[in-house]
This record gives sequence, structure tokens and C-alpha cells, in this order.
Amino acid sequence: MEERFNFTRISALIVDGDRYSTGIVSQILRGFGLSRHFISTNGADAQKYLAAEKFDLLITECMLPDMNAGTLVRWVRRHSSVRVRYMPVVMLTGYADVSHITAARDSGVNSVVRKPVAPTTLFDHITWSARTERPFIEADGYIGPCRRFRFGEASPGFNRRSTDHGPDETTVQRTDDGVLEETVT
Amino acid sequence: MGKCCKIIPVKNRLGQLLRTPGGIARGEAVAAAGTAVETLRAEYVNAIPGEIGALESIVMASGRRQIPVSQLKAMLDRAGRLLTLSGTFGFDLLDEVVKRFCDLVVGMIEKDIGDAAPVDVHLRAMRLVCPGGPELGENEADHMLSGLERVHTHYGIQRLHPELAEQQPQVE
Repeated sequence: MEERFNFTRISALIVDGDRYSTGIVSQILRGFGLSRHFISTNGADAQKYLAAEKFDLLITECMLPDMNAGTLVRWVRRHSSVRVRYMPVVMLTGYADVSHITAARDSGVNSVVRKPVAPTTLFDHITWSARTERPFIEADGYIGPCRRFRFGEASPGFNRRSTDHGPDETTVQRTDDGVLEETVT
Repeated sequence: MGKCCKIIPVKNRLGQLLRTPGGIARGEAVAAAGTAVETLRAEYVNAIPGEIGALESIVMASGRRQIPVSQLKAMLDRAGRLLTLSGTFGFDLLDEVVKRFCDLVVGMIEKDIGDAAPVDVHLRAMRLVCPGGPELGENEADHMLSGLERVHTHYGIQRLHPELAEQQPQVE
């Protein structure tokens, strides 16, 4: 039996200065059955929405009129509310955004989708985020979902190979609240 | 002193919500989304000439001579909207011309070229392939694209996504 996904209880925020893009993404989400979604045309308003409302998914364009989305995502990833901080983020990139993609990805997004957004692509990226039990990494230079996971691939698991660490020595300890603390010396 | 990295198992709230009873299969969801997007076609396709007009206004404001970098960036942003429309609603030739326009503008910014002439040529090409305009035959389309290619070669402009060039019809 084909897997089914219930979008009706999901609340999403779409952030994009391109009104056509927000219109199209809104229609795609409506088609999936998701009716609770809000649109913000810039990063500052998005921050206000995110602080005031409860969202389950953030879809943001890479380049916003008032900030690049990396700034917005870094703000999300450092938010005091766990619900905001760990929210799945899909980043949309335009044809000419080549130079910004790496920086945006490093800001802590879950996946990157090239515009114009096709229904199949958006469906697959959202449901992949939903299927994947992906831990979060909080390190000095990065806060976001573990980047060991690549779109479309199965979960690589929580255990890291010692060979991934090169010559460094790594100690991993589980704290009382279930967090794995990894110390590289 | 070592670098500390926390690996935090996170509750997959989105996954939990999506797995609640009911819902929609992928094929149904994609078909419904496609139908919903189609309801925008008339309004959005009608907006394409206006978006090209907005780009033309920027060139006009420059007196058709030198375009400052700030205006080139504004054009690039505006061109992104055109790509959203051409890509979503299947105007392949317009899509290709706008992509080449983006290649050009990014190259001009990188090389600090402000000449309005190559921009103007691309805007004329956009008008030519704009929905509602004259239908171009395959040879005419190839001829137009090869003309744009020559402009790029003249200014030493590279494609932003060279891999896309292989997917396009060959031009002489």
C-alpha cells in the first residue's frame, strides 16, 4: 500500500520576496492538503512571525530583500524556543544564486531546492525530512541538522566512524538529557 | 582545550504530524498541487510582459549607456521572477533567454562591465519569445540563441550552470 502523508495539521511559513514564487508554493502546499500557511516577503517580518506563531516548516528563498536567508536561518537555529530552533527548513535557490548556496547551506538548512519549485520536488523534500531521524549538531561554527545526511539517502545512523575524524581524538559522552557531547582534542 | 560538538537527538515533529491517520499519497498530492498551480496560469502568464517591462525601465533609466552595479543587481532579482514564471508554466525558450540574461548580468557584475548594449539585446530577445509574441521557428530560435552566445563570447561571459548548456538544443 502506498505511503500516505497527512499535511492538514502542518503549519508552514513561506518567506520570499518574489510574489509569484510565494503564490506557486502556496498553491502546491494547498494541493498537498496543507491549508495553514503564512507568507512573509522579507526576513524581518519572518522573524516576527516565527517568534509569535507556531510553525512546523519554514520554506525560505536564499536571497531575501532585506537579508540573505543564511542570516534568518542562523537566527532560527539559535532561537530560545526548541520548536523554532529545530524546525525543518527548506531553502529555495534561484538560477543566479550560485555564489550564495554554500553559505546558505552552511547556515543550517535541512534541504535545498532549486526554483522554480515543482510539486514532486517539494513533496519529496518535505517527506524526506519527515522520514529521516536526523540529529542536530551544535558546534562552534555550525548549528543545524547533521550534514552527514544527504537528500534521498537513508539515515546513516547516529554512530560516527572513527576514520571520519582524521588524526584528532574524539570522546563522545551521553549527558543525562540524552545529548551526545563530542569532544575533539 | 578541545572543541566541543553536541549531537542532539531531535523529536521529528514534522514526521509525527505527517504520519497521523488520513493523508494523501504522493501521486494524488502532486496531481492536486499541479491543478492548484494551474489556477494561477492566466494571471501569472499575463504578468510576464510587465516583468520584462520592469527590466526595460531600468535600462531606460540608465539612458541606454552605462548601468550601475546596483541596477544590474536589481535586474538580476527581477529576472528571478521571470524564471519562476517561465519555468513553472513551460515557456522553455523564454526560460533559456532569461537564464542567458542572468549569466550575462552576473558576468557583467563580476567583470565590472556597465555597458547597456548587451543587456538591451537580451531584453529584445525576451520580447521576441514572450508569450503572446510571434511564434519562432526552430531555426529562428537557434539563430537568436547563437546571437546571444556571440554577445557572451565577446564579453568573455561564462554560463552560471555549464551543465545546463548540454541540455539545450545545439546552436551553431
